[in-house]
Amino acid sequence: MSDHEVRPPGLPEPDGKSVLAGSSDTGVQAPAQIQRRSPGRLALRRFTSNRLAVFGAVFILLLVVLATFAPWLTPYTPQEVNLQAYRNPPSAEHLLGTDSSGRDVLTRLLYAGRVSLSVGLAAALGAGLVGLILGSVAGMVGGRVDSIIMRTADVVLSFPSLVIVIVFAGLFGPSLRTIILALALFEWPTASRIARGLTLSLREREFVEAARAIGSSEFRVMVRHIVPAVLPPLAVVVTLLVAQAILVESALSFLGYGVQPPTASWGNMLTEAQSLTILSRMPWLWLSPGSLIALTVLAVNFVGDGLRDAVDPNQT
Amino acid sequence: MTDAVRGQLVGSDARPLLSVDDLEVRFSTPDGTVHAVNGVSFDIQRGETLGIVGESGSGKSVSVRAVMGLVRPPGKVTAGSVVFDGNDMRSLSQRQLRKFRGRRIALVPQDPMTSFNPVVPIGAQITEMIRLHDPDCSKEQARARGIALLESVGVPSPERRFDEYPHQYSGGMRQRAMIAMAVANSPDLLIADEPTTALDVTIQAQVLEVLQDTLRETDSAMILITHDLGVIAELADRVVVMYAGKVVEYSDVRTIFHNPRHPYTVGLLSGLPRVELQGQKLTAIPGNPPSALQVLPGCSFEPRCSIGNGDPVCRGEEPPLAVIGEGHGSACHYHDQVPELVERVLIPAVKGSRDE
Repeated sequence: MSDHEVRPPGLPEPDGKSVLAGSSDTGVQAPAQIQRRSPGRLALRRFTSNRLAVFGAVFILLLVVLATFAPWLTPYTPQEVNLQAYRNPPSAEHLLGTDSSGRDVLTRLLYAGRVSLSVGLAAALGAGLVGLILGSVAGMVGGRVDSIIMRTADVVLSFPSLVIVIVFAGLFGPSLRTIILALALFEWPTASRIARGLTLSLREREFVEAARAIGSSEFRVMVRHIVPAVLPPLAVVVTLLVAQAILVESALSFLGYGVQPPTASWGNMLTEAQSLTILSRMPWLWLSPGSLIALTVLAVNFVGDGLRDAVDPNQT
Repeated sequence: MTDAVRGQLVGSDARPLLSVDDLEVRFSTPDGTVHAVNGVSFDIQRGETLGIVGESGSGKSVSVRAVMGLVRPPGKVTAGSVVFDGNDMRSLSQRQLRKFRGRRIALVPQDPMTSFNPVVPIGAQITEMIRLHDPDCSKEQARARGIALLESVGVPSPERRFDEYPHQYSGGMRQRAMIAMAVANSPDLLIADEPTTALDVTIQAQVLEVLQDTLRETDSAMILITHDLGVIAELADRVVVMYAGKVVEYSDVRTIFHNPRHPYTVGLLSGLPRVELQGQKLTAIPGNPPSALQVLPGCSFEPRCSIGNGDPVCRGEEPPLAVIGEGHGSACHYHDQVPELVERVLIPAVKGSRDE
């Protein structure tokens, strides 16, 4: 429309072309696509706005990277004994000193990270999986099955888990697999309670009834409608379980029932601190594994808290 | 149920698509047994729309849940038979019943807000319905079918809407998507459980229209549950009126409106707003439905009935569902007095308003 003539829109131009048709290619742009915010993206945004959670996540990621690339990061191997360098304090050669067998503490710390982190993760995932299955079955089936599962959970919860795991390790011989199994078998009740509670409320929802009305089996209802809804809160519980599992593993290894030397774990590196001389005079032997345990557990808990807020659908 | 009634309900000689006979559903609760459905019988022919009317708690929804085998503990179907296209549904296992649900009998639930999983896109829920009963159907085919279905019920830009979540749909659109999903596998029988109750009045008409069009295209029979007689008048071919878990009257849709033969039906009709009665109060049926916890002898409508209240016969004897005309039955001892009641209650109200 270059002329100054005012004409009602839609009226044909003298040449027969519609004014509106003409104006459309002069470039009224389609409104920019409104950016959709998926539930996942919203959760990520909530998570990243929590500084402590981000710190925790970064710390753990860093640990994972360091532990993974340990062979390239240090010139020593964790089992390398050097009797000349016996309980040496930190130096340029051994950044964190050496232990009673002359092994490099930093190297052992990195390799121990592999063990401690994977034990924690595997045990927590195992416990989460057992809890998810038992909890959602209990909630879905109800009745006697529910009572049996939940009373078992109560019984398991009433044992001091550390003692049980020690007994377990004593019976089946201390090994990584025993610890993971024992932790998974005795830490599931928390996860199962969460799963059951959510299942109970979900199974009465109308979309579950609608799912049945279209011919879904109970199993399908569980897999398709219950489990996906249970997973986010369960992820929080599992994260917190990771922290707990790392602690239990450390305690076990410290007591000698966990990861067996010469394999290094943060817990069994602390064993040396059982001697009073070392405790008072050679802090490099226990300070670093001890603080790593504390920091890792703290970081994992921060991540757990951040996740809890992030997956809470009531938050914006 | 007598053979005469049976013959009446079956109507023509054809074998009905669904035949429910003497259905009884009980719920065990801590307060006692709830008698939700007490001997309900009805039939439905292929392609026909049967309206079931009654107030809340009259056993409408439970009856059709029983048809689909969806009565869950503590509820239990305790007696009666449900025969769908020659299959005795009560003798089938859950596994066998699942082959019917969603494929041959589909449900349009009452509340479209809560009947979709809020965290699964609408399209995925529709394709689930399709692929559940047709495992050979590829994802792409199911998607194409789903989009076509959404389009057929009038969801605008179905291609885009297909991937949207339920909360991005409006109420009416969600109910239309529900209808699309229900007819996805061209069921023989559609059960619409108060399909418009949760919707805006302006949307109700739209949804009913979609429902009607869809029925016409798919040639499905429909059971339409509602407490809205207006909806019945618009869509149903025949009507069953339920009260306290029983059928109190059945007939074709014209007869219900023009020659009701049960005082309860009259009560429902007088509660219907009419243009002629502008400015007047609507008449309510006095009292409340009886508690389903106790079963009294006699007619369950007696305490609220303007004909039989206090009548020893009504109090002492349960009226049988008797045939009183062509395809018309009433469970009232004094059904021959009902036309008089209509004269007294319905007609003067209209006349009076005209005189003003």
